[in-house]
Amino acid sequence: MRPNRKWFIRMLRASLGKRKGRVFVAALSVAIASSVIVGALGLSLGIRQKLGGELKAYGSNAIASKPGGYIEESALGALSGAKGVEEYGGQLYASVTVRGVEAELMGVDASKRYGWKIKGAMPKEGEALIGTDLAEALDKSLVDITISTGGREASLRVSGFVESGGVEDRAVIVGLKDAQRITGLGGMLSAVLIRARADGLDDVVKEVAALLPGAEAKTLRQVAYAEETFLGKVELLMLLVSIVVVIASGISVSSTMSATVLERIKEIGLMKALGGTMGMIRSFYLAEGALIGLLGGAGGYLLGFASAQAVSRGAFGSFISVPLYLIAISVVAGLVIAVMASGLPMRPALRQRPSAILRGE
Amino acid sequence: MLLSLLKHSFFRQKRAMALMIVSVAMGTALTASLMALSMDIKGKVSKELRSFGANITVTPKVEGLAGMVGQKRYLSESDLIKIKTIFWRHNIVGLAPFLEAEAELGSDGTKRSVQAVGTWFRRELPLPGESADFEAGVMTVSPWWLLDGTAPGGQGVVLGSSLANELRLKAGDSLTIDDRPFTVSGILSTGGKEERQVFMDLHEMQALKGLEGKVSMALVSALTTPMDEFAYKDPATMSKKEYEKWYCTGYVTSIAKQVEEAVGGSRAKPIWHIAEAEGKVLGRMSLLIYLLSGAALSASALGVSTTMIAGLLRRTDEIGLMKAVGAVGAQITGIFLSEALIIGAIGGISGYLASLWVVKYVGLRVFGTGLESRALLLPVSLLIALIISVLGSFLPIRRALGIKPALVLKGAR
Repeated sequence: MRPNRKWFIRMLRASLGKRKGRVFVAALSVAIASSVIVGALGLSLGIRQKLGGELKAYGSNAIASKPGGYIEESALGALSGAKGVEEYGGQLYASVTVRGVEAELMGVDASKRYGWKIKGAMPKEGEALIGTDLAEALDKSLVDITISTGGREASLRVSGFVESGGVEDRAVIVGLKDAQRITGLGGMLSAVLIRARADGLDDVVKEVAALLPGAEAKTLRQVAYAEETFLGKVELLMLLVSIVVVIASGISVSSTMSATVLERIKEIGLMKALGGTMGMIRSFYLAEGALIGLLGGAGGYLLGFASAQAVSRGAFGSFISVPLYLIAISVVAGLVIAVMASGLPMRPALRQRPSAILRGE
Repeated sequence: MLLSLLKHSFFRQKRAMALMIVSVAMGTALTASLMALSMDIKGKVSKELRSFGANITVTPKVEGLAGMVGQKRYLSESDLIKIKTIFWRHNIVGLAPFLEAEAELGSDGTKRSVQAVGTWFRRELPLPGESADFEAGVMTVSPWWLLDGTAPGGQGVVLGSSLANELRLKAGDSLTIDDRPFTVSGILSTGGKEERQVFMDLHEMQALKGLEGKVSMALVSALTTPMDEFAYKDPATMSKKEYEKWYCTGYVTSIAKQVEEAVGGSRAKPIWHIAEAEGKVLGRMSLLIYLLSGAALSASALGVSTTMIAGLLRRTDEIGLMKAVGAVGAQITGIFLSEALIIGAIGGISGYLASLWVVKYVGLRVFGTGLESRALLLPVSLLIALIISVLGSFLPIRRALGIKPALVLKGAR
């Protein structure tokens, strides 16, 4: 075997070294296929997380409240460690009267964005945001209002008007601290709105209920259901697109590889004439294909990683996490494509007699 | 001469030519499919996003204090169908009326006050002047409602799950509402305030409260164009031309405006967080598909070029021979360019045909309806295939022209 191995390595070096242009073309085409596979798979795997971030704009997907009572604000700290909980915020609601009109007082975290249309600004301490319907009923040029609830009264400056298309349009919205002060319910919350990861939401809801003693936690089906349906469809779309991309580029690369191999049928005839066995010749070509595949696969991973990042940066403005095991997939895909594409066209030539090949038949 | 050479190339080297054609066809199929997808993606995604529910509320107009205290105002049920006659009527995909009132619910001999809601769960509305009915009802504006049992109708009412738990009522049990007998036909879970309400058929509710033909609000689900900077301008401050442009674009605000005009005494408002989130997601999704198409196009262009290069590289001998017998550069270029054009044409057409199938399959699997495949894509994919194959042969042709026949024919490369 020893002289054989020497021969083998020499042939490989000569073959790869003297035909740099062709080896480069073959490796490049394998790299393109691998990069497409890595890019498409990386995007399909990361799309849920990326789009999930965008779907946050639709609002909370779970809510916790205590039937007939209040949740203590101090208990919320436990939620920050809960798995799957991305964001949470407490709110306090109370019925109030403003100039004889019944309205709802909502105490919210005024530093957050809610997707409402606001004319003016979110309320600071001592200020209130007025729902447009309520404002229309009272006076559109409100500056100060006095609200009363349960025998208490409070004066607030109007910071702006809000149109949401929901209950907020008939509400007086203030900062949470103000709401607690006005109602005399210091440290109390009516509800905790939770934004949790879309997958495994049911488990998160159970965990939240366990962390807030006495509270009931529920999935807000509007957001949860639509999110699941939508994300599922997008994932399916990406997966199908990936499959199409992988098949198309796989076939395209195979034909490139086959084209580079076709010209070498004469070489096989010569090797056979010089006494090469079928096994030797086959392993020589396989080794050559494997080297090209390895090179192309590794290069393809880098290329695919870069293109997935470029697409993610462009579409979502942030990088996507491409799982590391895609390196392995990329290299294996490169190897399989290269070995198959260079091995298969060889088979008929291997079986032919060398004299026939060399004569050009 | 050229013809017979081409004929020779294609018939004597079937295999090599077939490989190049397959490669071009695959690249074209991929690009054409993704282009079809990106052309249709906005409409499709926007339809999917409607599963987040209604994006317009229609309520009676509030005018001064009287709107909020004293006599309650209502909309007329018969006006609602007019929503399907506005300029953007084909974009209205969901509609549900609601009549809400306090009612007395009696079961097991005890009575309590609950919020009762009359609505349609699912109802086919005949449209004036159109053959197909319009499917309306709660399920078209709030598809996430989970109903265990059957929709309310006649004496059947649906209880919110919290309410049902408290009263220990289940489907089939009987109860009274405002002293009239009803049966529980189903239990509703939503996670929201609906779980504390009782639902009945709209007409039943109207009869119960003596409010025939009245509704207290309606929800509308409409396909919209995402809001842009122009859309946020106050319509009151627009010039006549701007107003017209705004009115005739399917923004959620302009559709709401038209709904408001169609329903007497109403105020129609966008549900802002839904509209805003939709615009964001839609923008991201279409950008994603565009970028993906761009990436796929460049990958397949590169892939096809490498095939063409590989195909020409193996013909160095042939070129050397041609030169040796006196072919000039232009002739050689002509031969290979015409080959490339033929490969591009065959590959482009078959790639387009393959993309038709891909687009149909993907559309059906993901969106339930096939994507629109546009005739425009045939010339475009043909052009792409031609450009790719000609560009792909550019480099090898240049190399071929530099070949020294004596060296090549000796076997040195």
